[in-house]
Amino acid sequence: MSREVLEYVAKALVDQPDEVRIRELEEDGQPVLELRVHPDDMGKVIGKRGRTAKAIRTMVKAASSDDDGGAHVEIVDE
Amino acid sequence: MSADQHEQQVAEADEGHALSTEEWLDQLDHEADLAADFIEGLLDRLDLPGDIDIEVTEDQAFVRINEVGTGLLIGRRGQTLEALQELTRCAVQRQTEQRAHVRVDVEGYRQRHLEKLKDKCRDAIAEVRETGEAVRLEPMDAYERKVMHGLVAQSGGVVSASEGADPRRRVVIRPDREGDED
Repeated sequence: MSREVLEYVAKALVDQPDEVRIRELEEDGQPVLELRVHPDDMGKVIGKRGRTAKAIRTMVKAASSDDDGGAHVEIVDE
Repeated sequence: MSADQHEQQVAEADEGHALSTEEWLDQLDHEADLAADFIEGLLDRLDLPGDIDIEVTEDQAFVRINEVGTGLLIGRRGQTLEALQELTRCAVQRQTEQRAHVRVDVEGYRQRHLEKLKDKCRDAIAEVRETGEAVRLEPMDAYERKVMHGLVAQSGGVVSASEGADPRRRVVIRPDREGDED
């Protein structure tokens, strides 16, 4: 469920939703969702002083509290 | 474009607007519709029920979510609701490219919080009148500050201003000394 929520939210925030990529992985046994967006959309998912990124993480955590104990979202800059 | 530049552009676009009342209300209606669409889709992905109500007043669009049946969207000390507000604002702004005036509430949580802030503000107004000393209210968001300024403006003998930077920006209430510049 958290993946669907992340994908939905990210696509709603960016100008190029087709460029939204999500990868599920594990780091030290913890679930991680890696989010990639078009470079021009980085500001849209991070926001002023990281405000939007923080909101994304909070919402994904809320979404995942019952199934996988809270996936961490990493926004990948490339 | 950096996030800061984006924010700035949005803020300038807001100040530049010179809409008629009707156009302005249409814009708020549009914002509320976009917000409701975003939230409906989100509830779907969260597999949550919920009734979404829209209300547009002269300066704000309200989107209220009720009957969710869980505190999940509110979170500890309202932090998930804060996140929902931020994400909704961003989703709306991306489409309108203007500063959004949408306020999201879940099960009346923020309304209750606002009532508490109003009570504290009334107490503070009484204190300023009594002591002649300025009183600082707790940090609030832009909408909450506006409501507090409204309360102060209705009360004689006191004036208010905002100080500091978001998210720590707060309202300061002072005695109204006419002719006194500060």
